[in-house]
Amino acid sequence: MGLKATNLTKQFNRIDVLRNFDFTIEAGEIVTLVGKSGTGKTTLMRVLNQLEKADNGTVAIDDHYLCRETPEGKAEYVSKKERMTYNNQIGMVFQDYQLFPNLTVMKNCIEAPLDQKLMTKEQAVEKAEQLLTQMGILDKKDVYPSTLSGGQQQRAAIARSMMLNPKILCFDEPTSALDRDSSNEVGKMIQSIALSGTGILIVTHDIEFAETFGTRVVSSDEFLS
Amino acid sequence: MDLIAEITPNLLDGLKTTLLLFLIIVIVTIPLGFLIACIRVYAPKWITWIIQVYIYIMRGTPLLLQLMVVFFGLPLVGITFDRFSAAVFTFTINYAAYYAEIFRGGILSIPKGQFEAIRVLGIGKINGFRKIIIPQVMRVVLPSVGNEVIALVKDTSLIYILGIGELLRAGQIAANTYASLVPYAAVGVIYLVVTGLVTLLLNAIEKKANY
Repeated sequence: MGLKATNLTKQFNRIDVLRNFDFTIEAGEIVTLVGKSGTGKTTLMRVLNQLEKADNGTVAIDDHYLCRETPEGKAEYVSKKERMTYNNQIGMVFQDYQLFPNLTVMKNCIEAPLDQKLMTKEQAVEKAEQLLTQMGILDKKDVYPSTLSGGQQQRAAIARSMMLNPKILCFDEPTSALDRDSSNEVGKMIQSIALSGTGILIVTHDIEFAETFGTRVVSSDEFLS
Repeated sequence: MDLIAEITPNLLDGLKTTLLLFLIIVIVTIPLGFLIACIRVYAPKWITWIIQVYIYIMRGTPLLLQLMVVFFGLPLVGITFDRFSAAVFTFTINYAAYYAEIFRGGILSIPKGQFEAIRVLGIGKINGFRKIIIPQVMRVVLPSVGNEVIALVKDTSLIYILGIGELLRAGQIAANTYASLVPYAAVGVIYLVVTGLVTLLLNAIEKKANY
């Protein structure tokens, strides 16, 4: 069980970025996606997170579908409500974290579950405190993101993305702003998240990082099968 | 000293009109400008084009001319305002255009990633805009909005052209009556006091909007 994408096709300006691409992420697996810039690594992650639309293919996490391939070879997206359910199975940590600067770390974390009415405020705060403890930044819960270091911001963003217990967690270039020691630390943190059964997808151009921490390395050369 | 005591009631009377116009315009045009900015950014092309023309006209012609057109020109096509309503109407459409451009800049200054983060987290569009985007926009635009608010305090003096007795006109009449420059100085001091108070208020708001 995990994420399954079949026959995924995505064009930009009539040029295939993904062509009939089959891809899975199993629970607990760390898939690292490597390859040159502009080969569609981030595009794949954005398709899986609904920031881009696939032209063709089927994408599902467990039995929650995002889109299905039609006999005509088009990706047919499910209803808005179903997409929302899919969306809550997957989380994403942006390259530049994209914390909300006008909200404290705690409010960054609890906004989504409260807005979707998936938790009471007490439950959300408890969950956030647990995650911030796991990330080692519980003492920062009431400060604004601008007062955090880059590494701390990343941890806050990871905590925020895990609030709804996603089955799949995506990282876009998590080590691009970090030195080697900090990269290893993040790698270990990601490993500990995977140990709890979350499937991880990491887009990176840091081959050493990809090979050290990935349980499987996928190259963007495979996108155009 | 006697002169100041004598002209003060008249000046304060003029100040009342000035402040009334100022308050109405601030309260109406800031939200209106924000609304126009949102439409300008998110609406279909042909609507944004109409808004661009409107903003071009409002910013491209003198406010004084606009006042004259509304009060003296529109009656020719059957639209008549009393003096104060004409002033309110003209200042509203003029200032809303400036605020719309300021807010548009504010909305465009928010990184695309913030909108994407809202989407990825499954936060509703309206709530995301209200709780996450707008506060950031406000912080960006506050200094420019403050500029316009201060400019408005002084621009209100333009309504003398419609024969409305605002502060500057009251000063002018007093200066003529007593053949003295003291009323002008008094008027200047009153403007400084008002803009000073507005500046303090703006600073307090800016401090509060900080994060």
